[in-house]
Amino acid sequence: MTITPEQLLYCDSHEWAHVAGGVATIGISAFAVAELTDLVFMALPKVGQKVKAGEEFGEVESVKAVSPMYSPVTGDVVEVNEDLVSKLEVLSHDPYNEGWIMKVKVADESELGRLLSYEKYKAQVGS
Amino acid sequence: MKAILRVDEPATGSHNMEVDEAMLRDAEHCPSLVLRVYRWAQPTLSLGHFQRETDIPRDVDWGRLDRVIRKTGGGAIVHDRELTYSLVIPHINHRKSQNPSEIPTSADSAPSFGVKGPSEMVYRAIHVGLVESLRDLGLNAELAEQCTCKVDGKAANQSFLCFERRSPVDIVIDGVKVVGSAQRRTQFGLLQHGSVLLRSSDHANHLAGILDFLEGLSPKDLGGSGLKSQATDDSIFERPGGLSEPLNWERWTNWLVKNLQSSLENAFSGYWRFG
Repeated sequence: MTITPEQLLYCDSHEWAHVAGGVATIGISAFAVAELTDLVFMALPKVGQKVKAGEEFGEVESVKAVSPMYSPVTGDVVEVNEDLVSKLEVLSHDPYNEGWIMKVKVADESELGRLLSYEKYKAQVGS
Repeated sequence: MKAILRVDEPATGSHNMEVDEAMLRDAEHCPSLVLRVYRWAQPTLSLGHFQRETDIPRDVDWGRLDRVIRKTGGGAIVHDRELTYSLVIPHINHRKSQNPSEIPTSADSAPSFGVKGPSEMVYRAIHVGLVESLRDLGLNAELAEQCTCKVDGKAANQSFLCFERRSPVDIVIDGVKVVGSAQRRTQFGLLQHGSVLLRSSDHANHLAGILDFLEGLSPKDLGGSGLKSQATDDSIFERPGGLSEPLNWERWTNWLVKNLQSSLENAFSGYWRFG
């Protein structure tokens, strides 16, 4: 199933989450990828790692900057897209499907209410 | 808004990095821009955030230098005869939701640091100002406007040293990089590290600094460019012998501070002002 940006929830720090069956698939938005430009390195979380909503779970380096990535949800990391590290260019053409970063078993779905809808996120980034 | 300047005494690499990291953390609560200019107590190799000990080439002696890892990206730097600056700019848009009374009403005057556009503007604003000042000294300085990075997700494909790499906003003299910088962008603000190479280091003597180029200028070059009066006014460029060892740290620190302050105030149309 192809995920579209309209189906997702967003952090104002530009991460997205798609929640199904208690598991959130998480990545960074097309806007974030465009803003970062020329990605050269990504540090991923580990399977089993606990992440908290609003806290850092990894980092991405572009040519001139390091930027932390912040988790939209609290829970345990159950899967990580290890292949992404060696083909970051995927994020430029498919950030919402092939470019997913991690999957988290959500501990508290009530936190999802704090995330932005597609419309609100779109308004925030001015696109 | 208030801008804070601090010029620190030479310190160890770990201390320097701790101070910079604390400045960035403080951006969550402090609305002030903070500019810090400093030196290193002994020659130190700082690694870019994603570089590791195992990345250090084995055929050179950098491994014997003190080492730290920066929070900012990019390549390794041999901090020896160079000045470093750190700049922290709070993320205004983040603060807007927390305390609107601190934010001016004009959206245009409150750029969103932490994202690319305004953050890249910081690079350019600072570096264009430094380029102009270096050209006033008679040097063929310009922005590199080229990128040597290989965008394939493999940092190992890039040169180990920052000054062997090129990105568009680096400053070069006769094509040789003398000023480099890198950022860390968080939800609370931006940390920018900049390194101004003043003179070639014994630990990386294939890299030239600003003074190496200045000392290569002939008297004709100086007179022809109107440099003498400019330089005398700035109390930086003294010849003969004034630029030889020992390096006049105080004057170059003043030169850097003056240029950074001016560039920042101009770039943000006075939004931040140094007291």
